Amino acid sequence: MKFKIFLMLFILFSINIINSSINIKFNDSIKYYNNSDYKNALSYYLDILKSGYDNFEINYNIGCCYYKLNEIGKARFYFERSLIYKPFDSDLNHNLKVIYNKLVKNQDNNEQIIINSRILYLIPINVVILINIILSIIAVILLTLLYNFYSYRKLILIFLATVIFFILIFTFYNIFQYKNIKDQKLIITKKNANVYLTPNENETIILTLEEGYSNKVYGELNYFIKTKFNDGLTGWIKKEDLIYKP
Amino acid sequence: MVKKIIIIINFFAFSLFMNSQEVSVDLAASKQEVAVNEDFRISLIITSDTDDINIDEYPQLDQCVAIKQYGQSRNINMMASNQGIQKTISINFEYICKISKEGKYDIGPFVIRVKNKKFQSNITSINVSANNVGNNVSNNIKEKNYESDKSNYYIIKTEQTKKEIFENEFVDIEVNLYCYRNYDFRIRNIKKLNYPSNAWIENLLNKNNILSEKVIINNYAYAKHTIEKDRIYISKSGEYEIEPFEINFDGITSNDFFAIQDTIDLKTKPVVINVKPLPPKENEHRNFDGAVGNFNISYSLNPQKINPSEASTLFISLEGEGNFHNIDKINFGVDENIDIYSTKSETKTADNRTKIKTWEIILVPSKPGKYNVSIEDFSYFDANEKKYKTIKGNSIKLTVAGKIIENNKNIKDNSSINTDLENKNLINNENENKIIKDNIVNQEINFLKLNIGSKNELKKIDLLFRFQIILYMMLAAILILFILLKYYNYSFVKNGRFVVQKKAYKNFFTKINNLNKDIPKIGILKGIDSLSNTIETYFIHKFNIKSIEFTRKDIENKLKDYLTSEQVKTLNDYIKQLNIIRFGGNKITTEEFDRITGELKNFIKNIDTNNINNNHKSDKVN
Repeated sequence: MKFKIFLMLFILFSINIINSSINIKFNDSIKYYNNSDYKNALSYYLDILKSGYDNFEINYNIGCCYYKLNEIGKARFYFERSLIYKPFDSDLNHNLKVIYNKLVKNQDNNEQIIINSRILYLIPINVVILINIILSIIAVILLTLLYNFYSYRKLILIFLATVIFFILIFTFYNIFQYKNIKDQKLIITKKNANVYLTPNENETIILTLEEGYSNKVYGELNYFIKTKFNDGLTGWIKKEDLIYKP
Repeated sequence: MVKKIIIIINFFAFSLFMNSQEVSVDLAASKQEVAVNEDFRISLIITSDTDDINIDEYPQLDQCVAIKQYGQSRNINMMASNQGIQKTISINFEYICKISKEGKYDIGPFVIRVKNKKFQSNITSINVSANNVGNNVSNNIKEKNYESDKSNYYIIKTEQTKKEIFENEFVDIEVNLYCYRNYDFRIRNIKKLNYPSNAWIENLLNKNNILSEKVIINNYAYAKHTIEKDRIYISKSGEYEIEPFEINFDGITSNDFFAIQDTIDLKTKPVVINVKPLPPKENEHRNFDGAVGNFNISYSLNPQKINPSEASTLFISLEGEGNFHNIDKINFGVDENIDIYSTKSETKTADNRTKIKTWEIILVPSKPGKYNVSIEDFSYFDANEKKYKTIKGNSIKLTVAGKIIENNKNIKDNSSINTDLENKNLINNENENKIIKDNIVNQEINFLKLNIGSKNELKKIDLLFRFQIILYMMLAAILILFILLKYYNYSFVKNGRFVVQKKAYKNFFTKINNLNKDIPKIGILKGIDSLSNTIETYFIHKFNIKSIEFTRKDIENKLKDYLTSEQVKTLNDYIKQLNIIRFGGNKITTEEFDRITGELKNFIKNIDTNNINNNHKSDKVN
């Protein structure tokens, strides 16, 4: 019994130490950033990200560091990743506008990215899931009532139909949100990145993309990432020329 | 009178002419001089007033003359005269010929039978020379810089505008397939020219300019099909041998009289390009930044009169032929009070050769004054004249009037954060003034987030999502179970009643038989009790009634809807008899018991049969 208590205390203590060390790292990285040592700040934030803190704050701060290091493509990647968590954050929206002004040809399209994210995450994904779970439980209760209180069946059926209708709406909404999170996106980080016809450096170059260009990932092979363009053209970009979430 | 006589004479003369129209037989060749194995046509035209025409004899021809009929046409002319309608029929027999040996050949005469009369055609002479296309084209082409198939029906050839170029100078290379007499071909597979890795390639062959034209090679007509056309720029000097173009296609291969299609493989000769380094540049061309070709520059500033913090756009256009892909910018200089906000460049191709690259640069002055926007000299190497050239720059005046606006200080302060403004890219022209202002104010990003946030947010979302899916599956399972239960319950109740009702007589019959067997064991009295219960159970199951007491009143009340009055009366008699045995102490033998059960079986069977026939009664109950 004593051993068990000791083990539990040890585990709790270890977790506390790990958390406090991450907190120290976080605070240190803010100091580094404040002292314009963006490289160190970035390495600390990337460490924290690796330790499992994949959230709005860390992605946002990494984006800020990359911006300061003039790596605009990577900054865009992390800022757009933060959009998933908090699409209405005013700081994030401001930073994205600055990035888009610096990077991309068509300003309106990029404003649209923010608007789309705001619509898509108007209700945060975990809230939508919770709503769905609650609605599902209500549906089960209504079914039980329908079975046992047959005389009130009309009233219960109306409620049940309404609940199922809302479940369907929220489920589709949730699927769109989840798909958006799971979609792999790439962003070009090199000033000019070549797009090859096949995953081979000696192959024909079909396009050259500018830094900050964003597209979906359609697969990967060795050192290359496959992507598709609007006209149906498929091309391969070297991994070193882009950033993406594996 | 004289006139009338003349008219009559004329009329007779015309009639005579019409009636005396003879049969004519003409033989003609499409060519009088042909090459060995060259195809030519022969036409045999017979004109008469009848259809009754037959070829009686074909001409005796040399062994090396091949002739085959490939067509026949008929033409009928009708003419009205005072003697009725005159008909002229001309029949044309078409033959295709080929002569395999040089010399002079006579073809003809054909002997024709028209209405049992024989007519003979003329003889046509053909001179055949050894100047053959089908097999010997190559002998007559002076320079063999191409590859062809065995029969020389298809020739493939690469053509390049220059064999020796300077670094970054363009050379146009095209691959042409020449088809003899526009013979058809269907491409199966192509291996394109394999250019060196340091070559910039522009494809000049698109859907709009697929070329197909007729060319004469040694006096013979070929159709030229351009299948690859590229403009390449090589950035490093050296001698390059470009691997040949290979094509696999279906085409005509046979040398025989009738052409046969087969697969043909052709391969061009390798393309050799010698790339020379550029000559050293002189001091006056110090602005040279790698542009090779022939260029022209134009520029404008619009508007030229603005207020502080307003935008003016500088347009620079570079037009010509050359390595536009290597030209990133045209240098220009502005006063330090003018901020350069965005650069947008666009390259358009005027025809497949000339290009126009346009830069749009937004200039925003912060202070009033008169400024000069100077376009610097642009140097390039003219490969045709083999010398460097410089287009002299110029300056455009920009007048900034009015007072400095209040936020000008902020503008300057914020804009100074990003010193590398030339890297700034491309903003939407339509809202350029608005965006510029946003841009000026919002040059810097906001500060970091000071909270670390929660751990594993994505994993939590993932878990929640999976939990949700499991919940949905459970919900679906419950829903299905609910529906099934409801259906099963309904079905069981409904079907159960029906089955019991249907089996009531069978059960009754089985029970009575068993009772008859068991009577020695259980005794008469218990047997009578069981018999009474069995009858009761039968009626309860059969008519789906709750219970029945075998009193006269109850039997009449409950069974009147199902039994006839006679049956009710009989049943009452049987019950009465059983009650007397049970309660009256009237002892009976086993044989008498068997008799009673036998009668009861018949009675119940009778009820059951009637009931099946009059099923409407049981429907009423349901």
